[in-house]
Amino acid sequence: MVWTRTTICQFCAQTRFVTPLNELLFKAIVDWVCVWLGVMVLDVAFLALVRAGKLSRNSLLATVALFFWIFVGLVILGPLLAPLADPRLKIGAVAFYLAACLLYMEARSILSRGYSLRILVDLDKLPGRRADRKTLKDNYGGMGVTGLLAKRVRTLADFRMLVFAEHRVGPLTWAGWCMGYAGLILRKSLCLHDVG
Amino acid sequence: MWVNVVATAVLFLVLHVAIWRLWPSNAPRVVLFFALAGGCIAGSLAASLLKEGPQLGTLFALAGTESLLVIFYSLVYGTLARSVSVTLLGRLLREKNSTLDFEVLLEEYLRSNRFDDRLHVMAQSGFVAVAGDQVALTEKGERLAKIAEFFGSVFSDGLEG
Repeated sequence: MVWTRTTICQFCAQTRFVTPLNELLFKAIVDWVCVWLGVMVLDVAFLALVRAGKLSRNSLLATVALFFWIFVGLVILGPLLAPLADPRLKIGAVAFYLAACLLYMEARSILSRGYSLRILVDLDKLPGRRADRKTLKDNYGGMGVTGLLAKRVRTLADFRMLVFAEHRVGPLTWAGWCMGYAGLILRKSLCLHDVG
Repeated sequence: MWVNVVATAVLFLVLHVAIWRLWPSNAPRVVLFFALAGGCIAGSLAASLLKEGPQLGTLFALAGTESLLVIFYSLVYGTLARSVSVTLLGRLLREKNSTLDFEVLLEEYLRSNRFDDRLHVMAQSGFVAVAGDQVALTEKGERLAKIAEFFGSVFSDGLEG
């Protein structure tokens, strides 16, 4: 990562790419981008290990691991930004880094749990790329809508938001109660009905 | 700078709630959401330019902080407003002792029009074509499905849904 950063800075200095920009600002941008790319590489490597069966499949573990990589990135970013005298550049670089990490987290979540995307992928695999609604519901992700709900309930249990045992869902924990009410309030405020 | 950040965040939230309430829709309206956010950030940068002149450091910090807030809020909005899990939590909140048989939860979900609503939103965006009971993938939908499947296998543990 340090090599990549140095190479990018040297290349841009040679090509005078940075001339119109403030040089320190440019370094701050290169720093956060390189650390963010490093975090993505670590996370993709971690997920590859999960897929290879070297680590257990657990949504909570995968999320905790991603937060850990983001924290490691912050620890690396700190000394990289230390030479910058202007605190505004440090604030901007850290904020952009965290924004990019959240964006990655959001993209990863959609690519893993995207409801609509899964319907599209299911349709793509069906003969003629068409089906009736019942077939789509029954074949959703190879598990049907029943599997979808069971998976969501298990994940909520993994995240300690509710208890799920012997086909009985609930009771909610304090975290589940807060999350449920926050969702209801936001949906009501934005006039969203029957979504999710 | 921080006054500018807070003012932009409040303005964005007020506009978001006002627009979503004035023109209610179950569609995610991602483009409108980010256009609104982009507009608010651009307004904030313009205000800073007028007040302090072209200070690159201030503009960089302002853009970074406001982008972080927008992405964070979009994560909250996406999770709380559209997630199946939050729908299930909301359903449990209505029950005494917040417990329910899984079969009851499933039956209610299947009876609701949430699955059809997804199809309707995707049809509006041109990813599928719905004719009566039949749902067909469009070319645009096929491209998105291929991209999602590829990136789902790289950046997550596969597209599980």
